[in-house]
Amino acid sequence: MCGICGLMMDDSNLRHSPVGSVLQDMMESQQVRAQDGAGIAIFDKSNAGDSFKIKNFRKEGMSDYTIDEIDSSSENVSEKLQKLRQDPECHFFSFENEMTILKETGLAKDLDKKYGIRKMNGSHGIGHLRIATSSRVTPYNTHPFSTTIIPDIAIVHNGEITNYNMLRDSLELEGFTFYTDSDSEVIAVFLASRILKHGDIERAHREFVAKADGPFTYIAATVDSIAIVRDKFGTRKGIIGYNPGTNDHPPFWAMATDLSALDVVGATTKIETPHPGKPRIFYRN
Amino acid sequence: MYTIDIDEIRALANDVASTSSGSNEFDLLKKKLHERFQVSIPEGLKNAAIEKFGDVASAPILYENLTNSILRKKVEDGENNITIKNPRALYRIGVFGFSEPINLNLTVEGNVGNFFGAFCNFNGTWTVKGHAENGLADKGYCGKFVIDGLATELVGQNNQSTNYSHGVDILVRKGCMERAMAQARGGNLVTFGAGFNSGLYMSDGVLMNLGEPGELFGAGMVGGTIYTKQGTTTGKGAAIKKLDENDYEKIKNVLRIFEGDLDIVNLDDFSKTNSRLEFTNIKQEEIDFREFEKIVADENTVY
Repeated sequence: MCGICGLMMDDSNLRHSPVGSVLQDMMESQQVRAQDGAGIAIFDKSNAGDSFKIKNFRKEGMSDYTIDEIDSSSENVSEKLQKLRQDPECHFFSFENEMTILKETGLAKDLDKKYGIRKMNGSHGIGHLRIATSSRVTPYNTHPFSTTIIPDIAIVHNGEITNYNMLRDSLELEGFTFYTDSDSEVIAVFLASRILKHGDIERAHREFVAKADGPFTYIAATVDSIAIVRDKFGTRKGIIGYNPGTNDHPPFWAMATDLSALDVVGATTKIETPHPGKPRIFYRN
Repeated sequence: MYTIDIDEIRALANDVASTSSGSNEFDLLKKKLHERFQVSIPEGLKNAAIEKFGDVASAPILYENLTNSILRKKVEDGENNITIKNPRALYRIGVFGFSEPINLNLTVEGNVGNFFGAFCNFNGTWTVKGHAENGLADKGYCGKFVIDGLATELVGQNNQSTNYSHGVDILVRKGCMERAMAQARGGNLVTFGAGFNSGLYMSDGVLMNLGEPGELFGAGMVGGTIYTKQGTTTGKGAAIKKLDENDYEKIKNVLRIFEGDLDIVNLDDFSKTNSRLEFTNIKQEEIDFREFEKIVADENTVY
């Protein structure tokens, strides 16, 4: 019973918008659903540039982890990623340019306390509350998941991808690397592999829905889009709402597992559930 | 008439948390809550709250447990009109486990979370002046619900009709999301919109969708009836049929339950030849049931 959420500011001026604060409110309101891990990915255009951040977990002792951050220019990023892929001890965290991913085991309020999520601005973002089902409670199994295939893609997921092994095997045969045992990681790798192949995010989502079995809803964010996608039978919840904006923030689209999470942030106009199997995509203005 | 303001309980718990150390916080909170509400919180809640939510005062399970304990005590004391304020979408409110039906009119001012009124077995009306999340009245035996807002998935799931109960009657004014009345074995749901796969595996009861036509209704149904606007599509195992005289009588009987809630003015005259009804839900409307069809189990489906 994970909780997921996301939002896209509906603002052509791309003012510094309180994405972190809205996400944090939505996550805390859904905390009752899951308590094993919390994480966010926030996209802020002002971070965009020629350098990349590659983050990975480094184990410290029996149960502690620290996060290594490698700053890399566009010239040597491939070499550094290649090195990472060959390291069997690597627990990959994220590959970022404009995006920032922060995730920890534990509660959403503790994530905010540690990283100041509420102060983060941007154009869009996604959040996750994890209850562990098929993989261990570790920082590297928390969401959002991203990939080393392309930077700035992140997914959060509620449910199960029951043919995960089959999808993973086929992606590994294509040469893509996995870093965790979580079924959710396959969504990020699949989408990134398809973006690399044909560059069409909507087609990538449709292809995933066609291939994936099981009950799931996921929210995926790229630099210029956020999508909520449900399995073909609509067996996991996902709700979208719109906040028309105030003097303090621009209008935004919000999506979450629980309706109450939309209510908490005032996104209660134009409420809808995405059609099962049909990606509902919001693009950055 | 009794009112529970859950914000008052939150304030009390936060006050105790800010003035006591971790080791005696739970005992002090337990004492204060007993003084104020004459109910006890179980010892097991302490560990569960700390393990899951880091402390007792911020744990939603504390407020779920307390709210239900207070409600249960008030019902045992003979109170049958209760209002809950500031529920903030707490899960599992109104899950009691009384062995006999209770008499209770309950009004909730705000949103309720998952499984509101699950296993309900009461005489009276429970009104939610807000939205309801998944599993509203899940496995309910009897009672009447009026939800002013939306309800998410699985409204009236496993609605029970037994030798000693007729099932739960539910009105959702702004509509339900997926799988409304899934696996229902009785009861009635009147809703202004219902999501995909509503009526999934129904075996008895009535789902009346007065909103837009739905999609994939009635998959695997073996009994019960869905009334919905023409244009609704069915899942495997369900068949679309025209309404007959008996259906108009059945529709009248179901709407009779909510006649006052919907201000239906001409229900007595309703029939196949007088198929229009005027009522007020969110706004005043007229519905002509000649535009409706019914979905029932397809006797030709072989499983």
